[in-house]
Amino acid sequence: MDFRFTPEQERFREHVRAFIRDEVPAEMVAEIQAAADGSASEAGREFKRLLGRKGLLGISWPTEYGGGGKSLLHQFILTEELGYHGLPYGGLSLTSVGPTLFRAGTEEQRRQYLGGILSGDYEFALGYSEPSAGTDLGSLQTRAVADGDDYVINGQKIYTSAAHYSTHIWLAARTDPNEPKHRGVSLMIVPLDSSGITIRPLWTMGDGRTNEVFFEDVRIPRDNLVGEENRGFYVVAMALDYERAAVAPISPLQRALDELAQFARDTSRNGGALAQDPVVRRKLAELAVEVDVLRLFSYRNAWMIENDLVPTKEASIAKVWSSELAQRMSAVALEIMGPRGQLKRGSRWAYLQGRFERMYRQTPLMRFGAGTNEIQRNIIAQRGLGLPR
Amino acid sequence: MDLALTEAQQMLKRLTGDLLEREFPPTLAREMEQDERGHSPEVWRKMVETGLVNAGFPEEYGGAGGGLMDLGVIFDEMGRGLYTGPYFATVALGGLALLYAGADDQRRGLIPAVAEGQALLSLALLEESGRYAPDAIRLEAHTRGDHFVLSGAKLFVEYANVADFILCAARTGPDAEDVSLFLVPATNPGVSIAPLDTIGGDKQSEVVFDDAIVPAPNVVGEVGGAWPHLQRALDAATALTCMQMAGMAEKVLERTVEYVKMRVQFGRPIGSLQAVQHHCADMAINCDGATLAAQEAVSRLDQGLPARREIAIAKAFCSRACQFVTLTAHQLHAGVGFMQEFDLQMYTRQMQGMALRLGTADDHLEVVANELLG
Repeated sequence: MDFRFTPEQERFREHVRAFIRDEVPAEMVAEIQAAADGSASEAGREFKRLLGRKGLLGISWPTEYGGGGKSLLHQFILTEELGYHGLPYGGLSLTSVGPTLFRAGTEEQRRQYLGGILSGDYEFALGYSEPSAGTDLGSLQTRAVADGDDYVINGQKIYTSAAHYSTHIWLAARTDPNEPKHRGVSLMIVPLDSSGITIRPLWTMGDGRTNEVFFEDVRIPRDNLVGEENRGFYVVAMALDYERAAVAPISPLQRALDELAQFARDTSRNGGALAQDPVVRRKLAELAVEVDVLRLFSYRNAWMIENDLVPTKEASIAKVWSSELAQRMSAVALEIMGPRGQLKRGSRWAYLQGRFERMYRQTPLMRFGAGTNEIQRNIIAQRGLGLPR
Repeated sequence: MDLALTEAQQMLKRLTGDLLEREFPPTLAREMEQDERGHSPEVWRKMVETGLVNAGFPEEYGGAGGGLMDLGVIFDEMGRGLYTGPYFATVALGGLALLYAGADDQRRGLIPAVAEGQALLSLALLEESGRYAPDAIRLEAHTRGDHFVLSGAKLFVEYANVADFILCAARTGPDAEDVSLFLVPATNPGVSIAPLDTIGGDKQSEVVFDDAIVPAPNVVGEVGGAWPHLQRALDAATALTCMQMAGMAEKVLERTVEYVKMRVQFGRPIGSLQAVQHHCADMAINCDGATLAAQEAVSRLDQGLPARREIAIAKAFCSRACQFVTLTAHQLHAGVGFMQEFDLQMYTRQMQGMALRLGTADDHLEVVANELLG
């Protein structure tokens, strides 16, 4: 048993670090870190194209699809390093949409989309949630009606987070209204510049932007169907598996902990360093243990995928642990900071540029998003432990 | 990265599990708790025959030459199988202390007998303060002619009541680390052993050394040089304890899942209720974290890598996570799990004993805090 990376993988880590240090302009990093949603910012998208030019996007995609052909652990290391430096990776286009197209897409679809994803020019927004279909995705109502060689789409999606800067939407729509629930749903790719699409912003508590997307007689070729008609839930399930298994890197939380520890060393209170306060020490040590356990959970996911094992229970465990840890960490940080913890970025009195104030507002999304933690616990209990549905 | 056991380790795991299932059923675990000795020589002989006792010792001393991960696999199964007896005291505490601290002739003189099952060991280290630190060792050893004379009391000496030899850590000088290790036959007339009644029902003793005379050649290793070796043995024993706790927790989860699938209330198995499922999911999260943390600590020791931090993380996490698992299991079993005739309560009590030995969660969190904050 060995929990370490190979020397070759460690060299790759050095390579990524050197890239971040030497080739990413400091202004770009500052601009990304200042944004509420770094990957949505202009600088974030420019950075993604830079990753594409360096051949770092799709590092673990098969070479036949234009990828780097490296192991998934290379992608894991890359996202660890980027995450530690507050930089975005390719997002779900790269980790979920692309791999789903390898398996479920047509040759023509792979030719059409994979290159754009790899260069960073194509970005997919996920069109699953609707006002009445959240966790119960099977009740979605957006309709796609076949008309000659086209589908005509009408309906509404909500919380379509990347829609305002994406090129396409990965849309789940009902193609057979007579089938119950998930059986009449199909998955299709819709260019976001299609006529009849309206995107309206929704602003989140975390300062980020998400969207409502309205479809009014939107016409797309039937060739844009991914997988079989009315069998879209298989494609969605596959994409969700890739999404969950995208091995949530621990590095953003490791970075936050490191900054909090540095803050505790540098800040004095009641005549001594915070870092010497027994209560502060205990709280930070508990967080450090929990971050390490998260590291082990995510290493295990990566190792399983690398060895052609499918993490189900394991991926859910990592998701539950990381999201709840992020909430605990931000709450602990603000409590340690006291009244000054409430100050936002920009205030000269804010500690650590208000990063934990913002983190506290952002973490609820981690816990209910990408499959609520209640659903994840159902998966752990039912798929992992074999308890009855 | 390789998170799988080797084929040989998987085989050792099966062998251990099968042996315990056959020879150490829960009825025997229960008997051992009541038994004054808490030790079945019959089971010990079978463990020797199966190769569990010599597994971790080098071949030159009659061992099988296995690494710490081999021992880890054994302890994982011992946790699952609710094993109690002198194995940990003999192999992990006494055995590793002798192996790490002893001179070649001292190892040669005793380890083969241990490996063959002819001698049981224990380690006498803790005292009144309950701290695992060199300055906490107050029991003094004075020279008298060619001998040392030991005076003082040791606590929590595991299976001292059945041990043939007790390795006793004693103070031989004024500096904190002036600690020496003495090999003392349990039959030494200056040694008296009294049982301690503990939560886990395992056999721990207070061992009093009353002018116990120990010949100079029985100093294990160098006079005043024992602490680094003891620390190394304690580190390994701590990581192995984590493996045992994680194994226990996993077994408790398995048995709880079986129970909630079978227990019917309101006309359906309670395991179909989400409130119950979510308790089980939280148990699984804690079990997996405990197992991975224990495995990482042991694997690093096994590879000879620095592991102080990983051991501290493992013990801090396992102590709390495994406690959570057993107490949640009680909530799901309700009345029946609370009965003495049910096995769960044995897991719960033994787990708590382990949480309190070799450093509590608080102790290990302080190690983590030192690294993080100085």
